[in-house]
Amino acid sequence: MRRTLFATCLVLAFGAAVLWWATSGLRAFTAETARRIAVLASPEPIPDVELVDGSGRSIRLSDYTGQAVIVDFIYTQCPTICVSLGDNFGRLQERIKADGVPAKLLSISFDLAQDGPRELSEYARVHGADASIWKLARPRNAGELRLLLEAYAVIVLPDGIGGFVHNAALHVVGPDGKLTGIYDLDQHNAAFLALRSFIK
Amino acid sequence: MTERLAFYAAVLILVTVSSSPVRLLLEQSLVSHLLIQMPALVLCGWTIARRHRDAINRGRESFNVGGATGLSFALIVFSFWMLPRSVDGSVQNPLYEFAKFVTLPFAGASLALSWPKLPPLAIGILKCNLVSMMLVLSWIYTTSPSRLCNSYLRDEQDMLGQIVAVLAIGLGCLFGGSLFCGTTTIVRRKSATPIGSGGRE
Amino acid sequence: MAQANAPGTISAPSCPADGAVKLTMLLTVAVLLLMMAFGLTMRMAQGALIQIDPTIFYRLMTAHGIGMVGIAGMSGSAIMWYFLSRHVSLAGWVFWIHLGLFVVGVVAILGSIFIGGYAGAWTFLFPLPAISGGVWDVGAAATYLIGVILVGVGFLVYLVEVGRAVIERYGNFANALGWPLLFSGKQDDVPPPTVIAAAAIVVFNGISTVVGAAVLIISLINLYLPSFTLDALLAKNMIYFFGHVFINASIYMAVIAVYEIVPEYTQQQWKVSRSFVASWNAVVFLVMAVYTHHLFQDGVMPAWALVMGQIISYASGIPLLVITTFSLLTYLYRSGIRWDLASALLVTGIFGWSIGAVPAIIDGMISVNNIMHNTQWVPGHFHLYLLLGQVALTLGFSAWLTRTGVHASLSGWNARGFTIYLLGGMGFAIVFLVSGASSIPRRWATHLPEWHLQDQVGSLFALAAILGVGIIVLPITKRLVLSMRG
Repeated sequence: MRRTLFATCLVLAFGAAVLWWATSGLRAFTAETARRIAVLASPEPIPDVELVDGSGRSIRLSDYTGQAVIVDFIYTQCPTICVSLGDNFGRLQERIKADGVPAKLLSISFDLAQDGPRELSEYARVHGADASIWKLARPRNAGELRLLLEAYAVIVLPDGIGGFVHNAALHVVGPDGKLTGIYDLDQHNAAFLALRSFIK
Repeated sequence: MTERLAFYAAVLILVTVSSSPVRLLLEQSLVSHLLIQMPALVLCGWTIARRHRDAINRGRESFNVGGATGLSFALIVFSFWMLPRSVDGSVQNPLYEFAKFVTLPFAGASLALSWPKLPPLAIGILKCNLVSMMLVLSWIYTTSPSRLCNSYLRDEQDMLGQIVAVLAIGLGCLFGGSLFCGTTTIVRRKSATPIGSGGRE
Repeated sequence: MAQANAPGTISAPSCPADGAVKLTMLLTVAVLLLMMAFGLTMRMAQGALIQIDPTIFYRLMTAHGIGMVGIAGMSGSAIMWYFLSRHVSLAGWVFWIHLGLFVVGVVAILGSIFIGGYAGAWTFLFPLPAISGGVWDVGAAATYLIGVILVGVGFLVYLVEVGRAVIERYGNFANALGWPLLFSGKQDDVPPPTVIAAAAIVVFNGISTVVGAAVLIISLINLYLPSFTLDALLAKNMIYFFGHVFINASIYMAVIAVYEIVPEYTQQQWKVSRSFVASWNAVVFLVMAVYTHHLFQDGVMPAWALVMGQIISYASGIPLLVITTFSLLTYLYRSGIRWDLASALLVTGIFGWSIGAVPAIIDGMISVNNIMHNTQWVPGHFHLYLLLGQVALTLGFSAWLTRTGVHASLSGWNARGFTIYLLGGMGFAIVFLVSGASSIPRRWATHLPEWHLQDQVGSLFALAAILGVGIIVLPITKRLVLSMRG
């Protein structure tokens, strides 16, 4: 009886510790939340992959050094969530202009097969992207795309009807080129405040 | 005889399920991942351990009186793998995947060793709780505003929720129905000693 | 037929967790009086006799509701435990756990209401706990739900133990529910009425507890993650299913006191007839469908469900009510029963239960329900069958439990207390019914001046009921305390 009591308490204590760890202290039950908590606690460096924008110019994250950037991942044919992302970016663009924060927006397409320069320009036009703040770009090849997706922990799955399912979020990259925060689509206010926090 | 057959079947299934092609096939969908692969791992562990129950138990009985230790271990393992984060982890991270293929059969084995020792009261409460919690899980899967696992599609999460609801009701009916057709030993005389610990199956 | 049921062997009753049962009855008396005082306060506030803030009114209403339902369930479970232990082997410590969880749950609930300010009614109807408009915060609602969950877990443990013990003795529930007798007309080991009742209660109250636990956890998650919503109609179905079955079970459990105690007076065993078995088996299924009369005003409910609800509201309690009342009458007829406090209260309980069901049956008609359900007609119904049914049975059991050897006749303070309680309770419930019939809404903190007179008369009767119960329980409490010390 005493041995069992001891063994059970040991198992339960160990188990509680494991579950505590596995949920980041009962805060994260999904991988997405866990990732957000981890990034907030310790910002992660992002590989400086070369991207190509709608007019064929090269863009790198290092171009933005000294400025905060909000990055999102889209594919231009997306009928649902990317439209919402576009709207939120549009709203952020207005606020950045109005506020005069030295910050930029960057939308990266992961649909290498369909999103060429023309599609990117069209998406920019539809959502009223002002090229001085909001740029659209795509990686040059699948290998570099994978590198990017892994760094941002974005998982893209084909949805079976020609489109994709992906975890859509606003990724805030600080002036030092590190990923410092991930926010829900509708948390553009929180994302904006994160941008402001970089100004002393 | 049947136990020996079941043992070999379980070993065979465990090897099959662990082999790369079958593993990846079952993990392609959330439904087969959670409702086929994981239960299969637990069941194999259970069946394999059951055959050698006496040998494993010998000399260790005092560490698992009433099945308390084994049950706690199994419940912890199940809780861990019920977290959407762990499910995502097992698809994305080989270390998680390895842990899953080790811990789930062990949880099944530990349940096989402990279940017959559990007092009937505990079994009854566990069954009621299982049905209740499955209803809650089904609700979580179907009403979550976002995908709980980044590795799986929303449709699969909905389907999983619906299947779990059906399973919960089915299990409820099964547990309820079994109350009506049991033929447990009937104690004719009211015994004076309280019953609770050390009840038999 | 079990030996223990024969007259004569009853004189030395002792059950596992005897002390816990007595403690439960003490707790019942205390909570009952406190909740009655809350009720009186609310009636007086409605009658403009006193002034209380509406937020306080709704806290009192929430506390009164959950307190009465909880204590009814708890006292019912103690009565069933006490008598069932005559027929099967129950483990005493389980009842202690049940009582312990109940007490902890009640503390949480009272804290959530009177410290946290939760006032979303005892039914915690989704999504009300989450949207208080600033009256209470999430923590208060969560504490309330956790309190109810704890009480529910206690009941689950209790019911599983009862089920286990019944199966241990009778093999399975089919035997315990008397199916062989029901279907083939004979059974060599006919279970006593108490076992049949207990088996039926385990089935339906067990199912309701499982559903209740699910909806409680869901509501709790919703409090903290509002984006996880629940279909409001499904939530209402689950909550009312749980709540309605639970409160009905509190009466069904208490009725067992009649099966076990009345034979002591009439020197005749309570016979298990085929119709008795049939009526309890009918109850198992019907009791789970009656709750739908709370949803008649939800136009979005499927029509078939509402029609079924109407039919079942008619049919539900009736078989058992008729059988029990009729058997009771035949046992009493020419039995030369000695009327004392216990027997008078038990018989009152059965008739309070029967009469109390009538307004419910009327309310169970969809056309009536649409007009009456949100009036005081409904409190009229449940006060009749709880105050004069469940409470009478519970007090009767307590009086019997603390009897002093010889059956004293009903006289002196006992008789006075009994009469005042009976008149007060009856008048109180009738005023509710009259008010309901004249379309006075229920659950309103402030009443129009035209309604004040009825509220004031109701308050007067409430005061009488409290006085009557007070007189009845005073000696009972004293003897309970003494017997627990000894």
